[in-house]
Amino acid sequence: MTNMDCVEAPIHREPQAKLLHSLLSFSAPPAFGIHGPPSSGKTSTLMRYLEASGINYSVVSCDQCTTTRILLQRALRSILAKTGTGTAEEAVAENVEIFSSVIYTQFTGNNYTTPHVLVLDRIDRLPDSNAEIYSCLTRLPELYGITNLTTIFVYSTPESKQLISSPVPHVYFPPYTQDEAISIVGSTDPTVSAPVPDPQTYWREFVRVAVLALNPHTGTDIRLISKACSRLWPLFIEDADPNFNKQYVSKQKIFQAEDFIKQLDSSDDGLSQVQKYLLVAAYLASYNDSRYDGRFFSRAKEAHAKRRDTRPRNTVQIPARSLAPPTFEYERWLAIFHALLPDPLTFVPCTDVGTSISTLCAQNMVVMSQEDPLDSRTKWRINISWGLVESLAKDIGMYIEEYILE
Amino acid sequence: MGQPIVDHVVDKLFGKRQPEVMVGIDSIFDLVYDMLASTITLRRGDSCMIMGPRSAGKTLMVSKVLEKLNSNYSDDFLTIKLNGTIHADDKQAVRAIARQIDEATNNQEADKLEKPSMAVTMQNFLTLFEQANFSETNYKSVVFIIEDIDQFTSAGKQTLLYNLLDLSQSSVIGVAVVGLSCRMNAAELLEKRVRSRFSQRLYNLPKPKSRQDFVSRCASLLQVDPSVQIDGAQEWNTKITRLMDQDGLGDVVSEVYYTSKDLRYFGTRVGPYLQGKNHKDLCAEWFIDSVISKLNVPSSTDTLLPSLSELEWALLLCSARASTRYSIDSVNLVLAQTEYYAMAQALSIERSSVTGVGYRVWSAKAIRLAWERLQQLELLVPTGTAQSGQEDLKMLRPETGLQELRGFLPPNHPLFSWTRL
Repeated sequence: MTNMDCVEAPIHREPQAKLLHSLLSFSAPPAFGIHGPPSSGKTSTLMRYLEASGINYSVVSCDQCTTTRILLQRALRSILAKTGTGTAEEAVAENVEIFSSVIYTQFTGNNYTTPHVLVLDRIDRLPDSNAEIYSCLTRLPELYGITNLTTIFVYSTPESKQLISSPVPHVYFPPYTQDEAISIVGSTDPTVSAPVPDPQTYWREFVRVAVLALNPHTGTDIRLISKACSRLWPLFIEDADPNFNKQYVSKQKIFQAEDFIKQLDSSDDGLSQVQKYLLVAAYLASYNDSRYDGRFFSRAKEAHAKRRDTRPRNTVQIPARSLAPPTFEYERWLAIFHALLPDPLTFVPCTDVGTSISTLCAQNMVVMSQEDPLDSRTKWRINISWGLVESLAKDIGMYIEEYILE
Repeated sequence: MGQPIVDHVVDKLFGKRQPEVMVGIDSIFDLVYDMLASTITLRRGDSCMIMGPRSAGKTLMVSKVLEKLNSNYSDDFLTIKLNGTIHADDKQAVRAIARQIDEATNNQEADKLEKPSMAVTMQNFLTLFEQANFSETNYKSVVFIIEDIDQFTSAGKQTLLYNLLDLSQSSVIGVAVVGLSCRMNAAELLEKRVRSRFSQRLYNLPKPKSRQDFVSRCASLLQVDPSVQIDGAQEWNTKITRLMDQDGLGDVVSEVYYTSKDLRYFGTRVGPYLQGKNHKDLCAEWFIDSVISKLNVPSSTDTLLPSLSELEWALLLCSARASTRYSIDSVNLVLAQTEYYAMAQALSIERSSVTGVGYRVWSAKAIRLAWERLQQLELLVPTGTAQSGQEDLKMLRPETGLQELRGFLPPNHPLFSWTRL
């Protein structure tokens, strides 16, 4: 059996490594779960342990599998190849039943009795239902008589229903504390060395202040912290002052900006003027009740007369704009569109509007309830967010709040 | 190695070896055995259903029955095992039946029952049960064991169950169907035409009735089986009996008894304490290992909530607030975000008036990342109805209510006051 002393556990994960050792190196259970928040060292601790212990193992990253079938196929091929009990290329596993029976026949046929470990990493990310994987692999000895395969599920969601009804042992990886996170990221090497006498201490100091400053966003997620640190570090060491505290005071503002968050490409939307008007009109048509159209868009004087609001006041209403948009009719949309257009642009050739509308539909900014745009029963719906509509309205020089009833 | 006693017990706890001693299921054992024995010897078709909660010993009892039948009538009958959770639909189940028959009868490629076409496979399988065909196989009767039989009732028309139960009534060779289920109303789930073909024999394996009963079941799981001859087994067994009531092991027993009464759960709780130990040192301290008791816990919101960053906490609180405020089950990003800005800005103003330093209010981009992370951790779950359209307006249900979150936050947490509307 393996010797625990030769396995060096990752920093702050010694208790977990110890429990892993006792679960795996004696009479191992048919399956067990490793869980904890993302990037808390689950996979790395397990891999380091398996590597050092000399146990034969196969790993499948479930987030790279789109279906259960692919997952099982990869697992089966890897197991057969690693154990040398079959030709991996031909192995097919449509479902867990075939998977288990192939393993059973290959293991018994080749008299393979050495323990083997199958790691299903990030099984919570499998898009398919993983119910039968759980219920079958946790009961392999009972159902198929396979006693030397141990499956390890690695996940970071609450326990799935199947694992509650067929219980397994667990290894819990609690989140790192702030100090642990600082020491882990601080012990790595920075991408660029700082031009100061003692770059390592400088980096560690930097990590400490970065974690403290960004903690409300990153928590103690090691991956987020090291990403944020590597983005901020080059900015921080520009014109580095050997005195860390002075440098921190002068660079304090980089911690206040949100530059470390991944920038989403917000390129120019490339919408024409007409399309912008159309989208704003569609938004108003979606969220404003048609009975107020007269008040907002009519030029007739009487339409502006104040009406009494007769809605009951005692219930708390959800702001309508926070919910999915209601539908509207094509004609109403065009009417509002024409009402919004400023005078010099009033005449727009009809074909232009039609083309613009179909472009908007193709871009999925406006959606139809059915395929035929000319059918009078077709309902329309806006499909862009308030933030975008607001910026479009600003582009066309319109103060949209005036047109919204709230 | 060199720990035969501990390894033996751990194997039993993890379900790798069947325990020999069954506590509390003997009476049903005889009934099921008699039924199957008469099927085999007299070729009388029959059916029954065994119900009981999870890990009450249903599978164990049936496999004991089969073991005994095998020793008495080994070559006279064929066992076919199905499992409702693993064979997700009738199709897979029929294939599994065909494959098991093929394996048992050593059919050659040409006359295998299993064919690419589903209909042909089913037809092959049904014709096999006509007298002339079946006599070629040297078996006299067939025993079907169907675990989680309730899963097959959800399929339309319950075709598989209908055919199997019909065989058990009409076939000239003996066919017995034993269904296992953890649903107490499994028999009522059968359709009328299926139920009329079922013998209405229902056996119930109850959960342990008293703590004493449960303790004796746990003890028998922890003790060395009587037929196993290992040095020191006697001593180990008496020690275990003594430890059952002491601190450590007794605490684990109580915990399992008062939460699930599930023996398999008990096994997974106790197993890690024993692994790698020397049986001679058995003592109560084994079971008071703070490392194992802290780490060998299932994943739940309790274990996930401590990992949240402050922004994630804020969003979770805000979505719970919004759902309480508007009395709705599910919220979207826009609602949570509006709530967050209102709360965070108020907190910022309040703080800066007192200390001069505000509260950091994060941008929409940061909020979206945190929102996605909460979904990934399944603290916000989809409502189940298909939703198209913008990601921001997608309705999600917060897993935890405001009251529950209040219990998790320490009172000195900056966001503690947000747990009250």
